[in-house]
Amino acid sequence: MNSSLSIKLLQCAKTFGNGAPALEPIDLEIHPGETLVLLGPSGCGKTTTLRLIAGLEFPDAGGRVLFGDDDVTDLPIEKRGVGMVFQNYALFPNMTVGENIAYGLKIRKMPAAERAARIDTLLEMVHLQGLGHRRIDQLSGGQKQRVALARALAVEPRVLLLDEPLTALDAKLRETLRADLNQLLRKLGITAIYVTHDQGEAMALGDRIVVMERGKIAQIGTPQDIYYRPASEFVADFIGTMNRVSGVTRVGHLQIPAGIVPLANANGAANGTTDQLATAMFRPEDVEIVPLDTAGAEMFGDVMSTFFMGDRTRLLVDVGADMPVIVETRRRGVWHAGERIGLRVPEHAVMQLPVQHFSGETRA
Amino acid sequence: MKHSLRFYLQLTFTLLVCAFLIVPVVLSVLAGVTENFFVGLSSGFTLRWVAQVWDTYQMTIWRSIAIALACLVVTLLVGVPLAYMLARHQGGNSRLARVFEELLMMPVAVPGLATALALIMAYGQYRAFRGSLLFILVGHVLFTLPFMVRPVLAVMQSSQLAVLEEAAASLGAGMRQRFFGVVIPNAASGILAGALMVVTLSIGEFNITWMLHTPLTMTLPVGLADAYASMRLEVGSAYTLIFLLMIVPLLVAMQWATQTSRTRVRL
Amino acid sequence: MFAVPGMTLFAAFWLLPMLRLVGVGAIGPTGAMAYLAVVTNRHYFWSLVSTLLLSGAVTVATLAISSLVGLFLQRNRFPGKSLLLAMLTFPLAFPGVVVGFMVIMLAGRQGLIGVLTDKLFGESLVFAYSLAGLFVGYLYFSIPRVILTVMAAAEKLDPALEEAARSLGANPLRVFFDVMAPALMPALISSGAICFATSVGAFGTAFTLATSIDVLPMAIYNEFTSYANFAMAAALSIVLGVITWIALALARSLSGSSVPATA
Repeated sequence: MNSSLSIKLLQCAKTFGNGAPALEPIDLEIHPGETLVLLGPSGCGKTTTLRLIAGLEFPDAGGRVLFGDDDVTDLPIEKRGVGMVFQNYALFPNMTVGENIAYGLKIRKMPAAERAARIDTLLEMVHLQGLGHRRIDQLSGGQKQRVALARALAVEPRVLLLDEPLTALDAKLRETLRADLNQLLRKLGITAIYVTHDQGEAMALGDRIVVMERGKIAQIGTPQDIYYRPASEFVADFIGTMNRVSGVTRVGHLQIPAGIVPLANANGAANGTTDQLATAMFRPEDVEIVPLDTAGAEMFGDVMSTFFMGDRTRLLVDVGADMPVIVETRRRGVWHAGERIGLRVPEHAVMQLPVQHFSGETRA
Repeated sequence: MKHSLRFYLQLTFTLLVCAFLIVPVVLSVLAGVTENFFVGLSSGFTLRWVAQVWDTYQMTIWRSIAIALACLVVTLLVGVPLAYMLARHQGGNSRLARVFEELLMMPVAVPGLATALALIMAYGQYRAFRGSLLFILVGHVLFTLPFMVRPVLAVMQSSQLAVLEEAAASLGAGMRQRFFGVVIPNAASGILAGALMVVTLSIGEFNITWMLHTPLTMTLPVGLADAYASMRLEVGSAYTLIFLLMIVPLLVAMQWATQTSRTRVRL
Repeated sequence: MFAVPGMTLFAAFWLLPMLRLVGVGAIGPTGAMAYLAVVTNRHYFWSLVSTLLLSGAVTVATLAISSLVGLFLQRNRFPGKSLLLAMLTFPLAFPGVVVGFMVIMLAGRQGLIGVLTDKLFGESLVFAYSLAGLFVGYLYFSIPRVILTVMAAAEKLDPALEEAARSLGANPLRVFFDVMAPALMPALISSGAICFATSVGAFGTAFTLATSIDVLPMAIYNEFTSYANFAMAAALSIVLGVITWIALALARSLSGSSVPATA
């Protein structure tokens, strides 16, 4: 549909009037045709970054924004040729659906007949055929978001910017639209930058994810990179649920009150250094429940509570640490509070942060 | 921070409008304290005009203050319970509430002239009433009542009065206890805003008062009209100066009151 | 029960007297025809027309001026802004008589403009006591009100709408006409209606500047005091009341609130 564009941010920072820096200087490269997700809690700078790319804000002195080979740093948004989808749709209430979609085309002085044809094409693309004459207040939330998308795509932008487009919708609708959006973005092959605080959304939609924290980039990587190999405690905590247990290193494993957790040499601190205080992390779905009497059980604990969730069961198990270990299993079974249970974590599933990120002390 | 040409053009226009509004006020204040306005400031600073105003029109100032305070008392006693009733009836959004507000606003929507004429036609024959300050008070109350009811009602609605009252009732509070212990304290910001508004409006009320007054019941604005028509510019200016001195603190208080209520936490 | 004192007061001192006034309007020499006098009698008719035209002109001028100033103040930050705003809204508390006096200070015989034009051109320009002076006076009390309404409405504008328009390539002028003006229209119409109603019913200003100008409130006043023509005065004031009430009802239907005050 359009030649896709690479985007570069070079040393872009943003400080607002009150002096607080919203964004520390960052470098970011977005590949042509990829969907890049900016993910993080509120205040992390993801929206600021998006607005810098859009041209709604300008970077502090020294920052540059490049679209392909063009330096667009000084161009305001009207001149950048981007398509933007807003969190609360920002549809013009005084225009119909069709007029909203064609607004950008009208500005570019496309003749009316051509505009009408484009409106129809776009309505079909977002599955809203025949609704061109509706007024905005007659639409549902999901429909409004589709119109916003169609409007942004109508002008064949070089890059599509989406600012938490699904946040205002209810959960079920969000899932459906997420799938549609994913399909559409793949089909169009357009460079897209997507801001969200929902990690599920990020992992479903993103070719790469940029996890941000307090104005800085915490990690960039594919969803699998981020999930299986978090680069910092923050990322580990932010994405999915993470179990943490502290103990003393021995050869090849971590000794904790309730048993042992294997440590892979490749992951760092177990390299020969023993008798150090350390923390190991692993995901709930990687914990295996093993019968108490076999040799396979490496950890023992008492079940504190169970939650049956239909497709899986979540157990909170007390292993004598400050926080219970969360176990998620798809096995069919019934466990009771107070029951003694055997657990095992396979070696490959155990993560350790690089040495300097060890919390060091046991949590009291 | 750099600004475009458009900014400076708009700023200039705004400053011109501001000058249009403020320059006459400044001139008037100066005229009130200058020996001879026609000659200008060089004729000297004096308070003799202010003194003259005080001699001639002193009573009007006291009367205006008295009426304003009386008006405040009446609107409090009448308006707050009325607002309460409206707020309790379906949370203040019912048709009844709207009709009531509509009715109460009539003396404001209709020109003061008409309201005053109606009063004279209806009660003019009661000489004692007609010639008393009470007659004027009635006019003021009719005009200012909606300005007490409205903010009080608004605050009562936003603080979810019904829920608070239910909570109090569940703890055993009777109607009087609830009214004085829960309702009034929570409506305080609205009452304050309404009170300031009522006093300010009463002090400045002219249209109704002019028709209703007699030489023995002249209020400040009525006196002003008299002075403008028959006295020197300097005297009228000095009189205006006194009026301004009375309302400026009220306006500042209103500004302060709306600012503090905006930061109030909503339940 | 809580409403009893309020409603008795209202009924006794406004509702019933008003109804009686309607009756009085019809007991004069021309009977109920007095109500049509506003169109049948030349003098009153012109009075009404000049009142409506004046109020209309004031409304248009006020909307234009106040929108410009209000939008500018709402969207820009600069030192001294709150002082400027305070100065612009200060005249809100002035009764009509004081406004009239302000006009005299500007354009009366000893007014600023008179003195300046005398110095510059040898002939002093005095227009306080004419229709122009009345126009200026009405403008004086209308501008502060509408500025506040425009600022309140501008505050509610969703900035995302403007950003969306810009993202589609619209320049500032287009953004104004396509997005902002339509969004502000209800507030402008409603405050315009209030401005109109206040001007139509204004008495104090006209009284202070009165010489030969004859707006309807002044005509009513004269009928009552000079000619003791109570019936006509009553009829005319009912007509005036109906006109202002309709204008305010229009304002209310568009904004949900109408708070006029007198001038």
